[in-house]
Amino acid sequence: MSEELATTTYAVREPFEQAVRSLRKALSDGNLKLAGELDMSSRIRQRLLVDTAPCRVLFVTAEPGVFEELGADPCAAALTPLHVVISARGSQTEVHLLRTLSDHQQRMDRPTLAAFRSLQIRIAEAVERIGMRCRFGS
Amino acid sequence: MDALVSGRNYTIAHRFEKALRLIRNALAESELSVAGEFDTTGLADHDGKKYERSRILLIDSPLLNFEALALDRAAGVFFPLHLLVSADGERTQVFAANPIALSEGRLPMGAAGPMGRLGARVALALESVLLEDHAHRGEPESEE
Repeated sequence: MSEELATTTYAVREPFEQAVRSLRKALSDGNLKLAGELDMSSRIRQRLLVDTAPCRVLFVTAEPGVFEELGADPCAAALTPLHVVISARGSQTEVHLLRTLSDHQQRMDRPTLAAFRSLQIRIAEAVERIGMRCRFGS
Repeated sequence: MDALVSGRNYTIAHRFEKALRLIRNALAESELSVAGEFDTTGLADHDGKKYERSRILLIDSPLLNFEALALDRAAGVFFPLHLLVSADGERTQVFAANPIALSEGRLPMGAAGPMGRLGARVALALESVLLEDHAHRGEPESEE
């Protein structure tokens, strides 16, 4: 049996631009902060003169200070904001997230793991309001 | 904290603004771009002391983005790479995050190669800042 994928993909039954608006609203409704966006396809087009399907990365954080309050490692801040990728797939759209860390992994201390898991779960819950999980890995 | 420690720490013997300028120049010379940045001033270190200035730079290369996204758009969750730059009195602390730290399981198809190359190029750029500085001072380099 092959290893599970590190990412989770959701299908959104909306064209790209509409799905971007829906995603921004879902994140906002989930009290998540959109720190910025990066238009990957535009960057590639401008620098490489190659057209690719629309693709953006949304940078998502929780409220300021959440990591500190939970006692997380200060370096953990370097791993935030988390990336949410939204990409066109024909007339529909896909949203890609990192799969939520398991609560028994031992690569991080408990407060840091708790802070990341909390943020990942909130992002996943927000995305699930607009999309259906379509890929778990195999 | 193995996962976070598996990122790389650097100490640059210059104040924040000058260190930031040196980092930007080194990245540009390595054909890397700062795709965005976030002010994280107020971030506290392990002792609760707040860094007076702190910023996250988002580093990428459109060519590596293209390679990574060609087979699976999910690879975008690992790009750009985050660089945390924090003032520390007369010095500046730099932490190059390891995006793998937040992942469990198999990477999206085609992501590993561009991720590795981006990390290596960022490391080379930062090491060039340290080497240039130490060449002037005649001291050993201070990568931790």
